[in-house]
Amino acid sequence: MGAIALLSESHATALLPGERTTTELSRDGNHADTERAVDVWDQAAAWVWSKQREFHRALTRELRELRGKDSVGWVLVLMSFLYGVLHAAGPGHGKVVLTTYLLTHRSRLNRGIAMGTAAALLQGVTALLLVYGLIGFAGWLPRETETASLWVTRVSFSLLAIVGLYLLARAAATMAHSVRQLRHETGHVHHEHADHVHGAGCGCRHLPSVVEIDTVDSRHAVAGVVLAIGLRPCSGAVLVLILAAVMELTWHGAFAVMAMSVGTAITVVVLAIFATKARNWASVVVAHQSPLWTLAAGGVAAFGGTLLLLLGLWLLNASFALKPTVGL
Amino acid sequence: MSWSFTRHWRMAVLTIAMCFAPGTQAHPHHWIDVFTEWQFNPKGLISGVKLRWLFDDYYSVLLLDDTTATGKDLQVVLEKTLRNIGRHRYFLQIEQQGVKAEFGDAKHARIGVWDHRIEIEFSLALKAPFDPRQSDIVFRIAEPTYYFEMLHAEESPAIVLRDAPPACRYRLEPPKPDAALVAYAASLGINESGGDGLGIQFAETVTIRCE
Repeated sequence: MGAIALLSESHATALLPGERTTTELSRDGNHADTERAVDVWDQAAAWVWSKQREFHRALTRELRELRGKDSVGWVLVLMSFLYGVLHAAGPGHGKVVLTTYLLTHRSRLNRGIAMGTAAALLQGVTALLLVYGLIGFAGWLPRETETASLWVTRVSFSLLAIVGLYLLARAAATMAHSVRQLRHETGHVHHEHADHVHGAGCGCRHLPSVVEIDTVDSRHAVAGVVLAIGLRPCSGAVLVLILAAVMELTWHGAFAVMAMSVGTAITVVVLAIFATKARNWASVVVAHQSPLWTLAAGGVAAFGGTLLLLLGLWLLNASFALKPTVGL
Repeated sequence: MSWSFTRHWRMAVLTIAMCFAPGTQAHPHHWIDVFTEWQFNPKGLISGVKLRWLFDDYYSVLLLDDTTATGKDLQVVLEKTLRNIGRHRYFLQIEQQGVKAEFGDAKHARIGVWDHRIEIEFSLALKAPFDPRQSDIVFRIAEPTYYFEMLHAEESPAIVLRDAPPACRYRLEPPKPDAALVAYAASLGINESGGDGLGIQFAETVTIRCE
């Protein structure tokens, strides 16, 4: 509630020190004063966040030091690359989306790798186009760019929900088909097939082959997943680019963000390989090319689609609870 | 047993929620580099302190945007900020043997842009000066909600003992929040607050001693 009150009060203004303290409700009371035991979760989370914080500061410092100098800024590029690797190792929406898809849908290994790479690089490109396009060419203020970034994020969440729905519908169709086949084979509702001739264009596929992985349908889904991830610019990249634009370090910022994307791609690809392998291994263990198996695989795919749909809707909803600014 | 279970469960939920936090922003969101200059009077007592806050580059960009967009003067920002922080003892805790220092309103306040960063400066006079020869004077500075992280600047001198007797020294201890607290702060979204007691647990402790 506090957030909403704040929204109406101080729309599009930077929060000043001490402004928040009396207006904002605490999330869970005086957590800060309660006794806590430290566990592995905390240790890991604390480590990742403190590293990210250090990186944010270091990137800012590097940019500041590059200003007015005639230097390539390799330190900045290297640092951005490492930030990309580390940032991707932490929790994030892109990784959840990609692994959910790869775990619940059969894919070839090289497709998983391509998806991870494309999504990570697209994130960098989105950030570049968004920030430089709006500030450099359209003359927007950095804050407006942040707002635009939030809207692009919302588009990506909507797309995610649509992809989820699409996958769900596709899985449902496959399952319905398998059920019909199962009934057909077990003969419980057997009937004469005088009019049922298996041939081209009949639409009956008893055995889903590997070829099915490459159907037009699945290419749409793959493109949708990649876009849903890649359209959402990484907050670190937006931050670096806005600073670079303001400090007139356009090229340095662009190189830094590309290095960041390459770093992210490496981590994401490793994750994609694991997910694809795990999924394929599971398929091999239980693989019978039977309608029952197809039904089960359809169930898993439907589950994946549902997860992505819900995730998309939830993120979309949560993004509207945010103020239209990221940096505040 | 069940306590430990719920705890792990809660942390798991928190961590998952963290994964999806839109904007993946966590506390602190911005930082302020702090410079403190301690004013000693001729009797060797601490009579006041001059503070200089240097905001991070990104916050400065946003704030300067705001002033441009709304046509507001930076002076308005300064007045508003001082009014806000004045209600919180200027985010400053000064103690000697458990006695908290009281100070009046900020004086000689100034706002400006230094190396593209917003800086504000103001002086506080202690209502009753402290004698650092009697016992240690300990001070900490923190924005209560930890939305801003406030640490003494890395570039020296971030702490100055102005006109201090030669025997006076200061010692700065970095904050030592436990991992659970860091994780908790990190899990707080941009519009969430962990309460007014959070920031102080991430504060540096500075001790001034005259022997």
